[in-house]
Amino acid sequence: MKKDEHQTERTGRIDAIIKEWKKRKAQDEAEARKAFYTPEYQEMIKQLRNENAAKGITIK
Amino acid sequence: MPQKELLLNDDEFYSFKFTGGINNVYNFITINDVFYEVRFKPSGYIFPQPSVFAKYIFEFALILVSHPNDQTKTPSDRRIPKTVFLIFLNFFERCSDNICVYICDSSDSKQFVRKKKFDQWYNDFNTGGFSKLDETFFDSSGGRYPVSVVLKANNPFKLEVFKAFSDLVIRENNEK
Repeated sequence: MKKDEHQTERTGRIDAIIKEWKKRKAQDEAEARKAFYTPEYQEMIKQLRNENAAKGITIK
Repeated sequence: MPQKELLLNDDEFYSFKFTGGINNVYNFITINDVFYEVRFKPSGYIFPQPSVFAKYIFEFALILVSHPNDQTKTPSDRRIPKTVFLIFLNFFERCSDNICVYICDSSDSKQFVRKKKFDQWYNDFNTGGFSKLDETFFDSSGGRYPVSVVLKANNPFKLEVFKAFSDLVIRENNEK
């Protein structure tokens, strides 16, 4: 079947964007969760907790 | 800046740390011991590469990294929106020409809940310093993804960005 003029404009760009977005999202989450267990991140978390506590915000 | 006047007391938001890197990573931890990461990832791929503003496009992502007992449901927390907004401000202070794109996650079919929450944050905290354009991406498999573009109201590329974004959506979504 011959495509009409409108269909020929299709580039699939949004499909490509969503595909890339999903790939990057999965990578981000994996990276973030891996980093969480590193000594550097644990030290940062300790600092953030201390900074929060200094402002009167303490973990429930 | 007028936006900062909304943030009255230190105890109304969490301390956060900019750890940087190519993805402009920020981190904060909540009173419920939930650890979040905010990223602003270079995302020139969203628009055609020749565009002059491609290098200023960053995708915003809020990642729940760790939660006590691996609970999936997080309690409501009034400090999170203010913290995220402060992080937004910090990111835009690093370069006022930055352009932020937020694509709402649809993997659990809650994309429109996220969109509503994001809009509420934006409306609560934006007192005129920012502009936002909202659209929805429709992919060929029927998925719907609310997308917002946020930039400073005086961004020199504002009209070009909004036009390019609208053109992309009109061209691609109307083909269904």
